[in-house]
Amino acid sequence: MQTLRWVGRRLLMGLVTLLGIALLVFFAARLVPGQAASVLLGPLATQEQRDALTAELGLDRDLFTQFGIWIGKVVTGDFGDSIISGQPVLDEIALRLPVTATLALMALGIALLVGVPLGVLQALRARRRGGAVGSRVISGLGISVPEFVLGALVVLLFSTVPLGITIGAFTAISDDLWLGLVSSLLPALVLSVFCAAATARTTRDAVLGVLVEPWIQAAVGRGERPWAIVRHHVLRNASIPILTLAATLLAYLLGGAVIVEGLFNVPGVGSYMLLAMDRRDYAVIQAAVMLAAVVFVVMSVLVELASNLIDPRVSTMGATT
Amino acid sequence: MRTTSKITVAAAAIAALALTACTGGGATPGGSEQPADPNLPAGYASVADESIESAGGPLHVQVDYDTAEAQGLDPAFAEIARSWSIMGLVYESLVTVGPGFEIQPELAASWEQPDDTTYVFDLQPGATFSNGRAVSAADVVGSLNRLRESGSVWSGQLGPIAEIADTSSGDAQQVTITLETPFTPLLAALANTPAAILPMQEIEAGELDPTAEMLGSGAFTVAEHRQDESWSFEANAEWWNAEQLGIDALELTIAADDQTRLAGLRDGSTQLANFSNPDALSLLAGAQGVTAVSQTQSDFFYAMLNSVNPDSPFVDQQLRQTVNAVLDRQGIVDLALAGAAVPTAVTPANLPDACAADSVPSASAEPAADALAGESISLLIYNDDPSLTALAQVVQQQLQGAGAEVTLDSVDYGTYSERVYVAQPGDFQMALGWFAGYGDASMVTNWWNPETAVFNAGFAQPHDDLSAAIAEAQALPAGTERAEALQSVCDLADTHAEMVPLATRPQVVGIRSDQLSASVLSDEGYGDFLRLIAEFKTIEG
Repeated sequence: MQTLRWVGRRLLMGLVTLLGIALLVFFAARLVPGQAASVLLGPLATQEQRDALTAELGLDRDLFTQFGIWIGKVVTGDFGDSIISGQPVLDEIALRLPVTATLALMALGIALLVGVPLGVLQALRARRRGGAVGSRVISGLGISVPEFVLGALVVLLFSTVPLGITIGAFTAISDDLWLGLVSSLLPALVLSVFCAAATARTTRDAVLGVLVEPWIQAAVGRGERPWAIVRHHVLRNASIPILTLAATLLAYLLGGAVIVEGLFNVPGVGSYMLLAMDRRDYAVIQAAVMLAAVVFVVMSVLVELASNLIDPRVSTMGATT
Repeated sequence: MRTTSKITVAAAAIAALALTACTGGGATPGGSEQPADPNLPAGYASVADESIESAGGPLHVQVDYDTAEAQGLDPAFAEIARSWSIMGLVYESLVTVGPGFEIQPELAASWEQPDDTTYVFDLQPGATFSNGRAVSAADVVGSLNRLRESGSVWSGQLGPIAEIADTSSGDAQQVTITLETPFTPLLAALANTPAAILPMQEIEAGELDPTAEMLGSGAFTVAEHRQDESWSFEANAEWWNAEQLGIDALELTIAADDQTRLAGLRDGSTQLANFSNPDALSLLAGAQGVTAVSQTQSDFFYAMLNSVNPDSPFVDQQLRQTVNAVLDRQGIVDLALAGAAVPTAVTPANLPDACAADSVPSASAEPAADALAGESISLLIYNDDPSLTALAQVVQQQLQGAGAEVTLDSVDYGTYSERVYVAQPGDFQMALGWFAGYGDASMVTNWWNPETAVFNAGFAQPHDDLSAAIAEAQALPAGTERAEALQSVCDLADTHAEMVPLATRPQVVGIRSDQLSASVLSDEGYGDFLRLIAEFKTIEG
């Protein structure tokens, strides 16, 4: 019962956060110079044509009225239609979300598979002279090399050397499961590099923090095998910051990886939102930002819930806020 | 922190080295540019081998952006080049443009001009919309009248039409266009996609919404469209020239990033792609199985010097003329456009009857080395066109070389559009942009009259002498007399120096020549690198 009340409170706070974000994104999108009609009609349009289109799109009303209409529809699940395609925004996002979700999950999976062992290794060897230099260099590189550099190199490599994966033709998993997974692999790998490096660093710090705890020394004193100590005592206690990071990374990746999507021509949410911003397609911008915000809010609730379950000492369920 | 910085620098250096090494670094920019093959007929950058038995389809093409028009898929309102190309796969116009900008038959099998103001078009026998209904003269009359009444940009390019009439007799379908006064660019205006012939019977019956669906008489029908992602086309079995078509299907992918299209050509997943960045010529130079050709566009870059905004230093005509004289157009072509363009005056340099860029008064002016000393200039550009950015940097250097202090103001297109075309007066001092150059030398001159081209009214003023010269040139038949009249237009525009032409806008077409034998014109007025797609032959294996 307490858990349910806690979840309810968190979700209520999340709704307040989403309302704030809705206000921000709505007004920020309209404060950017360049109105939708002038962008859409191009430079050769007359003022009369721009005014007519502005009125047709309902953008000639005052901003608060527009906001009221929009938020009223959002409550009913109607995020409006794209100015460009004329299609409901949610339908268009629903087409792109599986592509982005596939990339995000693959990238996060690779990041955790690589980053967690790497971080543990770095922590266990931290006190040795020159310990884990190689893995630290790798994680340092992963964090430092920008995605556009790494992505461009991967695109160049795989398009000039026949390595069995074509870059120029992306296939969505909804069209063909196997081809979709194959064509998602390289962009997911590029996305995973930063995530893996960040995971390794966080894991290293978390594990180092746990290794100095007295119960670890007690376990060593009992003669437990090192990997058993890591598995039974270290990882569980170090998992909260890793979990928090993983949730943040997943939410970030689900929001759309604009650069990588562009390089690999992946029709995901990120490239969709970027185009919408260029074209002042307000309904799309608002819906995409709200989607990202919902993901963040939900992920943060889930992480907090998981943290409470993993380590009851940090439980916030009894707190009033 | 310091370690991270060093690693970043090292990674960047490795990346730069790798990029240089793998892209055939050292290739001369424009090095793969034709005309290397003297066997190519005049007017072609590439010619499909007629002896090849086409392997059929599908043909995979990648383009830089999708059609995105306020009026959806309605060709009458199409304003951007990619819309013209894509819609042109489905729709046909009465005429089209061939090598050397020669007007050629399309939906009209032939035409004649009995006098200065009358054009009689005989339609292709057997021309049929993809729903199986024969194209009629009534469709032509209805489509062109619909365009005239639409108020769209292209409606203004048709000139002073008095009447469009169905003059058919018997089975022969014939249309006669009568002008109020002679207007030479008419045929070139009819050759572009906005003048496409629509199935008016279906539209008027409410059976077809042309903003949402395309139903034409052209080579292809639309199988599927995912906005900003892809188009799937199928060969139109009803097309009157279907036997000539070498491909069964066309998969057209929108790939905004140059690197994706380069990769598609390199790995063979795409057979044809276009680039507005002339560096594509050198980037594709070493790619196995890929041929890159430069297509000279009549589109051209120009500088806008704001003479309307009282806060702009360019209200001073003398200063505008000095800037015009300081700009070295050949230097811009060589440095910013990889040599894959040509300097131009108001009439696009590659069009018949155009005046030469070095024939205008500013070309012979000799400004002092410090002619712009003490001047502070803000130069506005938008940031999604790599060629424009490169061009702006060269312009900045040239003006600074003459003593001016020049700051670059790079913004997104929406902001740029608001400040240049919407704000009255325009909210800038100097800006760079580009115009489509079209298929006749006198067409784009319309934009030098802000009373006609109201979008320029925020930064350019009307001039009676220039407006009269433009109208006079458009009424003269092609030839020496018109060339002289267009020279007057160029000279006057150069003297007023509010919109200063710089250089043509390059287009590079990459062809996977081991998979595709393609025809591409060496010059193009409407950005349509797919114009000759019916001649393409795919190669087995």
